[in-house]
Amino acid sequence: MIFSQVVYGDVTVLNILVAVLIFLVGIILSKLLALNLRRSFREKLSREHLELIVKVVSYTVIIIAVLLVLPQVGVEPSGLMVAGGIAGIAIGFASQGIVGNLLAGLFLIFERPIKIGDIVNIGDVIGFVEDIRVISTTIRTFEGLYVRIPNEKVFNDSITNFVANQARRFEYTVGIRYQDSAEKAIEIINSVLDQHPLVLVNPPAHAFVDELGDDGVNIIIRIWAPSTEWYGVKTELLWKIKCALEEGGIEIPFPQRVLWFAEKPPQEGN
Amino acid sequence: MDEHFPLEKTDRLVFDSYPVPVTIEQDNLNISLKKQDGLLAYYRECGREVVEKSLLADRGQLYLNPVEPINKPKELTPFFLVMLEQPLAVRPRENREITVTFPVEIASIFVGQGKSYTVLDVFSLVSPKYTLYGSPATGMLCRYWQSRVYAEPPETTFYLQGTMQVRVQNTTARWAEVTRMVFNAQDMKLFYDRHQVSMKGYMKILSDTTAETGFIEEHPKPAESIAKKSMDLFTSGKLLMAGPKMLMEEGI
Repeated sequence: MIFSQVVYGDVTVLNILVAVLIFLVGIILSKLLALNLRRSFREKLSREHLELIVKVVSYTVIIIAVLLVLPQVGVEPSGLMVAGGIAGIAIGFASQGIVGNLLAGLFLIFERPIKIGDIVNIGDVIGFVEDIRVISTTIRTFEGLYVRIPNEKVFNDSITNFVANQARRFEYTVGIRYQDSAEKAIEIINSVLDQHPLVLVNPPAHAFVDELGDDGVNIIIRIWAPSTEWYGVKTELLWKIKCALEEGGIEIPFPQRVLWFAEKPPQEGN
Repeated sequence: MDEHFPLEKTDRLVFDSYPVPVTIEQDNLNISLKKQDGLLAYYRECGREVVEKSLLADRGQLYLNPVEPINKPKELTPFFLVMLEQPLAVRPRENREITVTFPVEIASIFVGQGKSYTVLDVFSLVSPKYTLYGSPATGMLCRYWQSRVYAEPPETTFYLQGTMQVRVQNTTARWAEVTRMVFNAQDMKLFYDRHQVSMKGYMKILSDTTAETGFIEEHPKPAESIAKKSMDLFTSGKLLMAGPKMLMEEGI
């Protein structure tokens, strides 16, 4: 019978087939569980938590499948403990990069300096974290590009996480003419900021005269907004402030220069 | 505009069910749900915000139901902060009920045949505002509301403000000063009737700077008139990641 034919040691063709079957069932089961978890909890959990759970469940199922496969192919898992040390050194030398990325990936998953969905700057790449896998991290840039960064690079590079804190500050500089009242301008600016729901009450926004500039009086406006929303708020508010100032009779000055003539300029017609 | 609001009977806004077709007008709010080109057409205008939807349904009812005030302009946080207009000094071991107000958000819910329902829209006639409770590094984003402290539930415009009866308990042996209350709205227990919205909560002062807050699933005063429990819009779709209690650790 072909199934009882020995392939090597005590391992028969049947053992190999069972091993392949167990491994396939493990992979299919992990995929099905991942799919079902995503479907069931998509609306109920944040993407970051959901992906972490999916990964833990998938890898656990695959590890269990591998442990079940090993005896079938003549490898006792307890024997791996002894062989693991020697094999580990050999594999480590052979695949330093992969192991480095793997370890960095595990540190990233557990230390969590970045999370899926965060807006980050890693090296010279800025964008949304799409996925953190064990070997690499994928970023979707604002231009829609897919960038895969090896985890070792992510781990060693400096990371700026734009949404790690709940709130973020941004500022504008708005110039007004010298003849306009800065107090009135600040009052108008504050009323615009009060009306915007995402300009935070605390920490408070702050508008103040910063500089008596060449062309006008410069007012700096510092605004705190939720980190996830700051860009939308920033792009929306400046024009509203400009319009409100103009409605209040305050104008943004054009660059200007006062010229003094040493002699009276010649009159037209002379 | 006429297409949406024909000169027929127009309802005023109350928290109740309306048989379709319906047109509701209140202040700067216009809502209609009526048959249009074989479908049901939902239209809502509130200030500058306009929402239009088509429903693949023939008959049903429109419910206007107050919901947790954390949905507008978008769902950003489950936390809700009530800033007291004046600080409230609470004597040692005091255990007493006060009332504060909160902003009302309203859900338009379409209930079709077989009691199946869908939330068409959430709106509010109150402008929302957000704040940070704590520092930018460790603080929490909260929906912001400022309220006076009342000994008894005040009269409010029901579609703008609801009342929250808060049992304030000072467990310490010293006077405590309360300037704000932060609640986790995931566990908000709103009760309503046609013309009022109310809920009950508690604030247990644990020290000068910390307190525990939460909601109580009890009919607020006057219990006989505020009969209906509102649909928990926020928890209906989400798992409670944190417990319903809220520990205020960044000051009270």
